[in-house]
Amino acid sequence: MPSELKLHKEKHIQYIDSLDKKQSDFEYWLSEHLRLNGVYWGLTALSLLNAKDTFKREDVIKFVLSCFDDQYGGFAPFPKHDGHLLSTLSGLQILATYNSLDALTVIRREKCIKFIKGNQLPDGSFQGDRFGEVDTRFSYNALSSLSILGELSSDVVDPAVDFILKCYNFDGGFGSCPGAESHSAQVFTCLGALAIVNKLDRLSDHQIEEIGWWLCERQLPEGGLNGRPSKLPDVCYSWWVLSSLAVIKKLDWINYEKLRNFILQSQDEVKGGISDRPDNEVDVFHTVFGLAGLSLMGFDDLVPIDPAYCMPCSVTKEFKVYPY
Amino acid sequence: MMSEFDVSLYSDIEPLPIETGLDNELCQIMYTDEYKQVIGIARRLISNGEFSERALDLTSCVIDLSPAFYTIWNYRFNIVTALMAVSGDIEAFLNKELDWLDEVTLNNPKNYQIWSYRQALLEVHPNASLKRELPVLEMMIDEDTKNYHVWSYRKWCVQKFNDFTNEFQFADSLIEKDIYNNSAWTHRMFVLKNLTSNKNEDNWNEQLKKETIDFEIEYAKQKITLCPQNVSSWNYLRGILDKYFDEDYTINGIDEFAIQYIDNIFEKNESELTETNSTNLPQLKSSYALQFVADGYSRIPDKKNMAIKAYKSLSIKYDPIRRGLWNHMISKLSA
Repeated sequence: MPSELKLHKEKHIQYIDSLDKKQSDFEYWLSEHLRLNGVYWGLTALSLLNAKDTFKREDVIKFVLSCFDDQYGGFAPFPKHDGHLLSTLSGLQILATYNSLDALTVIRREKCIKFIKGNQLPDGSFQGDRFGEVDTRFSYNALSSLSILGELSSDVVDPAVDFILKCYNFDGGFGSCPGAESHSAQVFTCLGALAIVNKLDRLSDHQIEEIGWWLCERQLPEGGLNGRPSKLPDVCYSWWVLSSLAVIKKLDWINYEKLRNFILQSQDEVKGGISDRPDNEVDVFHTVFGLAGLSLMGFDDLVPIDPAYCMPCSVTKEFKVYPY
Repeated sequence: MMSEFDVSLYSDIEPLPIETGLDNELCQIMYTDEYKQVIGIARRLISNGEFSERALDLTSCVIDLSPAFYTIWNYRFNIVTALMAVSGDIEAFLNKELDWLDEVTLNNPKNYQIWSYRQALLEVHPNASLKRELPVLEMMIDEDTKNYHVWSYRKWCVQKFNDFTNEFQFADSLIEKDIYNNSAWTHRMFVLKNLTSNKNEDNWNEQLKKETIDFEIEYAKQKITLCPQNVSSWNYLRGILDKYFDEDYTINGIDEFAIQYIDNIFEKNESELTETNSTNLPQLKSSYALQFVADGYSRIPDKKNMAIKAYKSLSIKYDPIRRGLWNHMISKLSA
């Protein structure tokens, strides 16, 4: 039995810091196709721990800029990869967190906006890139990116919202596209997107209740949250589910203590980091989302996080609120 | 390695090295020599805009080494587009590509780029068929019965070919294996909605629609009877009643069906429904049944108090972890 559970902040800072020192953990999140996302996860985790300066700001910004895809616009996950909405959001989030959106030249900024808007399809959905995969995750990426740049407009937002609403399911959840299975991450992307563009009122009170029920039903007896009915709990859902509940103001439908215990038990007390569930390997993805979940619940004196943007509130409060 | 890599075929190519341009390697990785070599050549070929057979073979190697390397899948698609145009037989070319993809799919069950790549191929295939897709779909779902991407792809396929004939049976086979498989239940609802929509032109008349819906209600009840504490089957039942019966949870005696699982809870007094007394309350076969009855009754004015009792029981004993929700429902009804 563990002694009284606590959050090992210093260990987590050390763990994230160690990721840039060629440890074997490294290749875990540092596969190229996730690289820029990985940096965003690490930076956000450090921000929550009030240790943002652990990364060298100039180096990170330089790396982010080197990921820009000048041919198609937008950010790629790694230099010379293709730009994609997923990495575009990560790139912008990192720059915003460093208050360095002006590191983007005017031309690149224009290309970025064009890339994002150019990926919207006639039915309002977004493809990740010209390759054509459609997913509500990309709707979220696009709307959040445009929001960070202060470039939302009704010609983009209105059809985007229509598509998102089509992804609302019979059980109160949202899927990746109409008819797809409800999944916690998709609920987050749909609700987060609606929150960012201030269109939560498109959902009726009854629907909000159904969504809230679907979300809090993710909590298992031991306290962890799962992504879909009858699946195992995973720390990352501490974020996807919790932030969704925060957005619709139903956070109290979750049992905080039990969830906190689940997250804390998933820490590695020796090397730092948090894993998907107790006794598994840690990684930066689960570290940031475990910390974000704890922050939302107000535990352990963490820096406040914005549930719609998954960025520190101190950063997001500077964003222009749509409609402008 | 799956594909033979003969570096002599690329001797004219000067590899483009991986470079982040950073001294402190925030984002460097320990690459093996083979990976470095193959990726270096691939980058150069991409930068040269080469769309040849040897480029195609090289992408097979890269995908073998690094199946999630997204940019290489894009490059491969561009090569395929170029090569098929000069192949003289687009259909045969794409069928061969699908054969290759089948093998990669079986070797990489967690890779989700494969499915959007597959979709892209089918969209340019002059003679695609659902029949050809079914075996690999079945194999993949067999291996990972809740694989989100495969289920999504299956839905995309049946809609593209407008062929739902196998789908109820397929969903049922998965539910037989695992009655809790939420993906299978979701698929069933997807099929039902598509078949009963006004857009379905397959000579579906109102009578046939009604029979199908009635059948699905019986199906849900049957599965609930087998396993009453299953959120997926209850959600399915509620979904049907919400959509086709205006959220009436009392039609055709459904409330009586649900009540058999909740053991006279309504006969308890208010005073018995307290936390301190909770150990004296009976064990129930299904908290979802209790919630179902509560939700149904909450919409009927003279059954409001029964609904409150039910929510109270959930809050104190049958689902206390969600007491925030149950207390919300009680407040709403008590207002």
